[in-house]
Amino acid sequence: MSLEFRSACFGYPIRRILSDVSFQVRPGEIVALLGPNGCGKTTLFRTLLGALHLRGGEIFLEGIPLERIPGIQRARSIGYVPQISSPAFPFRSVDVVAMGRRPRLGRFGSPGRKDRAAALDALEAVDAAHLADRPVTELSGGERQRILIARALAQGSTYLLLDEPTSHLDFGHTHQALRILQTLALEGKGILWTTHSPDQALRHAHRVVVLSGGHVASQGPPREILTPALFEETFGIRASVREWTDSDNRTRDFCLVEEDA
Amino acid sequence: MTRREAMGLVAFAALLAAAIAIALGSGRYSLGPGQALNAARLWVSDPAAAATDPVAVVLFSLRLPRLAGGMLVGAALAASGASYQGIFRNPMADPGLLGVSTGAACGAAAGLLWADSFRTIQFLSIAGGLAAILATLGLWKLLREEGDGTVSLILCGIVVHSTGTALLSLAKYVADPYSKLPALTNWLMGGFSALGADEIWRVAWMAPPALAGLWLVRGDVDILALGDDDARSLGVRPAISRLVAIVASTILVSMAVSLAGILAWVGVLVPHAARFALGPRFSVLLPGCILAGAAFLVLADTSCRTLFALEIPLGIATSLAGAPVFAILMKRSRRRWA
Repeated sequence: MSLEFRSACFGYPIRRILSDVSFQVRPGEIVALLGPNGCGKTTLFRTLLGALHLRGGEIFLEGIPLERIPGIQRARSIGYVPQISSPAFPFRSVDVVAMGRRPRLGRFGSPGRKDRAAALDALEAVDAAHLADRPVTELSGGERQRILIARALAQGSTYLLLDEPTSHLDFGHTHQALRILQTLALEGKGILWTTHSPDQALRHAHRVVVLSGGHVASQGPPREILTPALFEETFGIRASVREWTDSDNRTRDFCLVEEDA
Repeated sequence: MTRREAMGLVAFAALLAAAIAIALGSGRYSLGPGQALNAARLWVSDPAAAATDPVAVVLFSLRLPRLAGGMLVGAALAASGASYQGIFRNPMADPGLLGVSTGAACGAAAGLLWADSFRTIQFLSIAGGLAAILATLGLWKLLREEGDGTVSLILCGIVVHSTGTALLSLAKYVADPYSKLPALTNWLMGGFSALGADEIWRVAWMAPPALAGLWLVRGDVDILALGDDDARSLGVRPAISRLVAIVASTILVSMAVSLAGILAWVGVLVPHAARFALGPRFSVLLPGCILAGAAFLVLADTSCRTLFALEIPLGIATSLAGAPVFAILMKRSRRRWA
């Protein structure tokens, strides 16, 4: 079981953005896509969702070429948490989460009572049950993020794509969101998320795929690939991974940016 | 359905019942419920006698067709407006957004200039609406690029709309200023004054299948209001669900224009009020808009023909009333869709 990219290329009909991407995500695994702005992370996600065609290579979902899988079936396996979602109208949170049931409802369906119950369960799972009746348009960024994660959970998919899930969150909410990711992975979800922060990737991902200059610059366990040379090349800064041991003798890794020379 | 949604629908149904009673009872010839019942009894038992009974004539030949027309057009415009606002993620979207009502008006104008029978006008106006949507979709198909959202489609609609506006001006320019131009101008202002039962039945059958089409995609309309990528991630194919809603709305709008000309604001105003009362879920909003749209247009039309000695064209009244009411609604619901 896996979501696998084999020499996949992404972009638009006239402009290739990302070439020769090969890696895979297995259930229970957290893979971070790390890269500077404009490296093609969003294009890669939009291709996975079927908004854009693959420009070369292949993507396999459980061994089957993704382009051969109908959208509704793909949606049963791959859930998506957008960076921001701004509904045109003030839907209640529970209704937005219930929309996650759509792939289970057949060609023309609308969520019913059972789906609403599933939505409430999903809200519970992200500690947002108290938000159920609030209009999503009135929620803060952190609350909205949890609603969107709950929607993907209600979808019941094996794989989750998260597009910069922490970019709109403050320090505390960022931490909470990343904790939720870890819990979901422990429950067996395969998680592919994009981030700008090497620090987050270092601590929360099993593997990191670094995208830069239209291709994969490096990939592997974060501790091994986040080298000073990579920071220099990809982000144009001098930085390195350091170790810090606390009073209980536990060590943690963090990224340290060196002062400009 | 939540309590609030259910209560709102009941309130709208009550409003429609009241609107029907007022519309049937008021006019230059005032009718009480007793008289109306008697006339109905006479109409059932002895149609020949009913044809000469003044109460029955007023009720069945004048007010009932007009009431039916008002309900049909109001419901059609409000339902299609609500669906457009959802699928285009724009609370201001008008059901004429893709050029359909302008196309239908062009068809009607051609009918007026060419033949001047209501049947031809209706036929050509529905054909005009369908031609307009085909032009918009065709142009879009030609110009669109992979990954495009709805903006390119709306721009194509604007192209078709402005072509239609030019053709309408041309029709006015070439129309005979003594015989045809007044009729054309009057028709374009919108209203029911020339409407009889035949004209209504000729097109009313189109409404149920079109509304059923909207009902079919009720879940997808909500999901499309979140955005296309969100919709795709939930297994909805935006282009297909949107197309179903567009075709259904095109039928409803063309039918409405073929009966009453272009009535501004109804398709924006009523969905707003309904959303304010019922919340945004389309599965509740659609029945709500059908009820509220019917009630609104019946009340507006009744006011037009009773408030002043001279009947005011309905299109002028909906535009005049629509603008301030919309401003108030916007103020009141600001927080909700900010």
